[in-house]
Amino acid sequence: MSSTPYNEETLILLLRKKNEEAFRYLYDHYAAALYGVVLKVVNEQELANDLLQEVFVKIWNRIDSYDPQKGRLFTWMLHIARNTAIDMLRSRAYQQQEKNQSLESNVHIGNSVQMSSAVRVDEIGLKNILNRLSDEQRILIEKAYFKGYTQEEIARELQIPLGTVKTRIRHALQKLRDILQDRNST
Amino acid sequence: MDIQEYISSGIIELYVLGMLSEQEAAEVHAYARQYPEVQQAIDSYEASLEQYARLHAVQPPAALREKIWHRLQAGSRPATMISGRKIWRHPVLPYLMAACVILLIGSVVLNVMFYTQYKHVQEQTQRLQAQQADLQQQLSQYATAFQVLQTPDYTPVLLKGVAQHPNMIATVYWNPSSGDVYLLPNLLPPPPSGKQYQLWAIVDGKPVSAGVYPTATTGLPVQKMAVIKQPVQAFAITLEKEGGSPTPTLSAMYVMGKVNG
Repeated sequence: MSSTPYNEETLILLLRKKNEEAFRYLYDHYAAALYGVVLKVVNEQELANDLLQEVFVKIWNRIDSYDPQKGRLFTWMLHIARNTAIDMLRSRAYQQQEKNQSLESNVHIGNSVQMSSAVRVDEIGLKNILNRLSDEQRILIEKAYFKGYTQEEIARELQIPLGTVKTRIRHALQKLRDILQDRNST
Repeated sequence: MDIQEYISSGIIELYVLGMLSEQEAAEVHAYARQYPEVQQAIDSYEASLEQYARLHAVQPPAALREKIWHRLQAGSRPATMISGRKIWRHPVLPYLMAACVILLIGSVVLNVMFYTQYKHVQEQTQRLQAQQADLQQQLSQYATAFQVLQTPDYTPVLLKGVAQHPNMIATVYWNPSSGDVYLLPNLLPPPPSGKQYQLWAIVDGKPVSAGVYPTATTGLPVQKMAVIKQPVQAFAITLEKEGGSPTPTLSAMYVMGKVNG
């Protein structure tokens, strides 16, 4: 970890100046989280390594277009990570391999079962939260948050009416909020 | 509007996740500017989600940080393959290849088309050249015939249609001294198949054959006929069987003309 603590504003300013120290700080503070996001989408370490590089190149090149008014830096970077990984999945070369992977395998991604060699930074903290969500809520959050699905796409994939999906997603997201707030207050 | 109720409706969560339609998102955005509570709810949910994402954090391989830094230093240098995995880092190449294949196919198709057209034009040119040579030859034949027939040695004899064939006309050019005879069928219908026109010279009241007019005329309509040296009173044409007859079929006489003088 870099020794200098930055607030988000200063960090962004220095990143725009292509400051090396700022990059190292950014990487040390966010790489693991973004790597986790990428892994959630592609579920394959080697590919995730390439994608994480891609993600940082994009962040580095596009930092000028980041607008703090529209949300936190992390949210912006999460979108870049998510979209980069999703684009990769959609790229033709990869589609071939992915074809056989069905919804079933996605259902369990919320668990850490598939993370064979990679180790989560906060395995216990995550488990505690996931345990308080139902399987369905876990899947819905997974798809909405990490995979960037629209409500329509979720409805189609899970074959649930759109109205129902909307209600359930709302409940899942509120539940998650409550759990996280609960966790912070204790 | 009850702002607390709005906040707890679940719309903030959907807003933060980017799951609202553009219109709905604009509405939330507007409320956030108007009501600090809404903005606060957004901020706090975003922070929660960041926290949630961080719970899924996985430490990337240690070497990656320097690798990325080197790449950033390299700036806009074209992407290279970083692991052994084959990845089109820039999706330009596959498109470029597809474009090349399409261009190649297009080029082949055009080549075939142009070659066919070229062949066609070549054939046409050859045909036209042959035609042109034919015409050249015909023209020189006409010139010669015209020169010969216009000399004072030749007596033109106009053969007019007989009563049954009033509209038919033919001309005989006869040189009394050399005996050369030319026949020009000005207005004679093409003979029916198996028949030919035969020219007769009337000498001392008796018909003498001057030959048959060729059916398939290549070249000039004016054809040289048999030589007639005897004094001729008249010429006549009858329709005879192919190859001609020894004596004229009088019922099939078409045209006749007396020699002047």
